[in-house]
Amino acid sequence: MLRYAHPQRFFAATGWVPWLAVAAALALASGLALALTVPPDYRQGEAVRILFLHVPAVWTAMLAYAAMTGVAAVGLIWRLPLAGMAAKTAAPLGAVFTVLGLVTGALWGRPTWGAWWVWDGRLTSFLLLLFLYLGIIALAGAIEDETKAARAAGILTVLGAVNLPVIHFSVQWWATLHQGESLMAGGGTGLAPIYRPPLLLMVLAYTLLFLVLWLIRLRTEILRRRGKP
Amino acid sequence: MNVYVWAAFAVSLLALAVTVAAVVIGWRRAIKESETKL
Repeated sequence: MLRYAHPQRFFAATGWVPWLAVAAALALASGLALALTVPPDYRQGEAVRILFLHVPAVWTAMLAYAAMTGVAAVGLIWRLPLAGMAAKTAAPLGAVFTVLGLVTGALWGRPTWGAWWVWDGRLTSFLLLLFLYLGIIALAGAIEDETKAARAAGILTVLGAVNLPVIHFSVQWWATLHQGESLMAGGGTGLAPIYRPPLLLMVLAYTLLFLVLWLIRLRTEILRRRGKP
Repeated sequence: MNVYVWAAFAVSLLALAVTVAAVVIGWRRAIKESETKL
């Protein structure tokens, strides 16, 4: 595994990204086709379709942060340049998915709760994730020396990871308008089976899309640094 | 479909398209610059 931690070897070993992009496009096309054609919910009506955009965006935003934390920790411990580059290139993508999670959440909240936004545990901790992403991007950009920048951003990333379990468990810890777990919930309170295929396809599509974009950005960063002394 | 659903789909797909375009443009620029250096 460590063999691929060398940027040039990693670059040479990831030439298959276009195939991953094809898989992401297929998953997105089929997920969207299902998301737009499933019957409306008996209570939420058409607004239920926002589920297929909101949940994948939130999932990917948190997955991106978890992945960033992993590579940032590896970079801090083993001082691998590739790990710092991986964390740096994932942050803007994670921020995009976080903004999408917030915007689709507001567009879902208005017709179902009657409010665009409420300051409860889930929404506030998720907004904090956006601020963490922006802080990491700003910190990495503010330090000229790329090794020092990766180290500083890596420390902030690892410290900020404490927010991930807070986001996940916020609906159990505090009273909230936001619904609790529904995909894995049992006892008849879970998601209707008809909505599972489009949701899982969209989650897969967003995950693959993030991986494709991350790999392209990482390869771009390797290419950009190749000519540097 | 109501306006909130349309808005959510439009915003999401537009944001994803812009992100993909930005990443691909960055990649193509890096390729061009690396060829110039060589």
